[in-house]
Amino acid sequence: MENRLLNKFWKFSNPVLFKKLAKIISPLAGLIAVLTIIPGLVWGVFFTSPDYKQMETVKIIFIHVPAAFLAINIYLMMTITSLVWLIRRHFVSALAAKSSAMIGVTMTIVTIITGSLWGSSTWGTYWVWDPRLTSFAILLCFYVGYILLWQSIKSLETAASVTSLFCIVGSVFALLSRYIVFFIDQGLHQGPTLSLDQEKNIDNSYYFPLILTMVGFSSLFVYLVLVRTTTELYKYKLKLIG
Amino acid sequence: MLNILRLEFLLILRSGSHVVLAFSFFLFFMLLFALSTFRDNFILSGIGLTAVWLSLLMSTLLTLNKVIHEDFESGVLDYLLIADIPIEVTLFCKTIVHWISVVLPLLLITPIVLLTFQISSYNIIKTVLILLLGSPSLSFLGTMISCLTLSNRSSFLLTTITIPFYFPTLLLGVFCSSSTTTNLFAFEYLLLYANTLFTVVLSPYISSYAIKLNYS
Repeated sequence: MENRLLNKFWKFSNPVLFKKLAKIISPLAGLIAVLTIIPGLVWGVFFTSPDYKQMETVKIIFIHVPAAFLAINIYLMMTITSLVWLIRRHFVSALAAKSSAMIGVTMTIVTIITGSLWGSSTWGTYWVWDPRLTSFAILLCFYVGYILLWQSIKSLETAASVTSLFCIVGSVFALLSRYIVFFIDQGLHQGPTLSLDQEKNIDNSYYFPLILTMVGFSSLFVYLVLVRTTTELYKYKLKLIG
Repeated sequence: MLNILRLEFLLILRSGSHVVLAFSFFLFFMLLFALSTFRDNFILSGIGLTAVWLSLLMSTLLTLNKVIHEDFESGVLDYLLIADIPIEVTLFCKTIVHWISVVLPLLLITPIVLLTFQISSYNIIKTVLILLLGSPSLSFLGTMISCLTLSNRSSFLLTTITIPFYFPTLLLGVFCSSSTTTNLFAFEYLLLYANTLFTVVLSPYISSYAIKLNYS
């Protein structure tokens, strides 16, 4: 049963089938993104009460947290798709990793910018070398290295393989650096207060709009990645023809 | 394996200008640190240990393109790939020779340089010991990344994408050098040793895989 399900899943590594699927899913994802991000942000920014201590600046959370959530998980997704390319040789997978790298960089930069704006009003400084901030700087370095490596190699297949290896080894080293940074210094940033099962959570009036924007950002990512991967596939086809 | 080691050492002896380059670069870089802070002994002794790690890292980075790239361009690597000896062993030997020829001389000169930074002799011995145990990972990571960037000759790219991989070593190394514990088996030291062993063991395999990816 599981095997049959997996086979159905691998079927979409065929570029033609993938493009058909992308044509169905991407408008849906885009629609969900529009329908959740705009109400989520409006609800979050205008219809919640300000924090007793941080006042209105707390509302940066509705962009900061989803962007950070995506920045980390996009790298995880790139690692998985890279593994799929190295093991099963599905080219769609490598192209998906390539097209999500740019989105990952954007999300990391958005996280850092919103975070430093938030920090300037609550901590009194734009940047401290706090473990969480440092690990985002490290993450940015790995994203940039990945993109530089993609652009520096001419042969597409070699580039895909080499960057996949870079991504997998890089994820190990990024995690290693992160835990070492946490070992050296505990820092200023607050701990996690957003989860589905923990008792100590942020207040419900923030919780629901935050979940809404997170769903919205995720579906925005799905939309963008599908569109970009389809474009990359067409580009690859053009290169093969001419 | 001994043959490869002998060959590599011969190569270094006959055309090893990069060894001298790395050595003088290390000294000049340390001099820059000293010149920028010599007015204040407190800052000078504070920055000394970090400066040694950074200079070592930079001079290793500068010599990385000599390990694999030159062999790849001249076609020697093709012969090494089809030779009887596994490519992993060859890469391991090459990296060891790189470490002995480039990094070890720097470690030998480090105590003298650190003396001018007003650092106590006990701290100097500890730092050199930590450098000795931590620096192999710099060479091994360098080989790994230079195998990844074989298709592109620019040493700028090699340097840029190697730096993120040096973060754990640099963080742990500087942290251990400035830590006050005397116990050499404290947790942070163990982490440093683990990092070195991890890279030394894994790097030849990942490098050989990367070379094969570049040839396919």
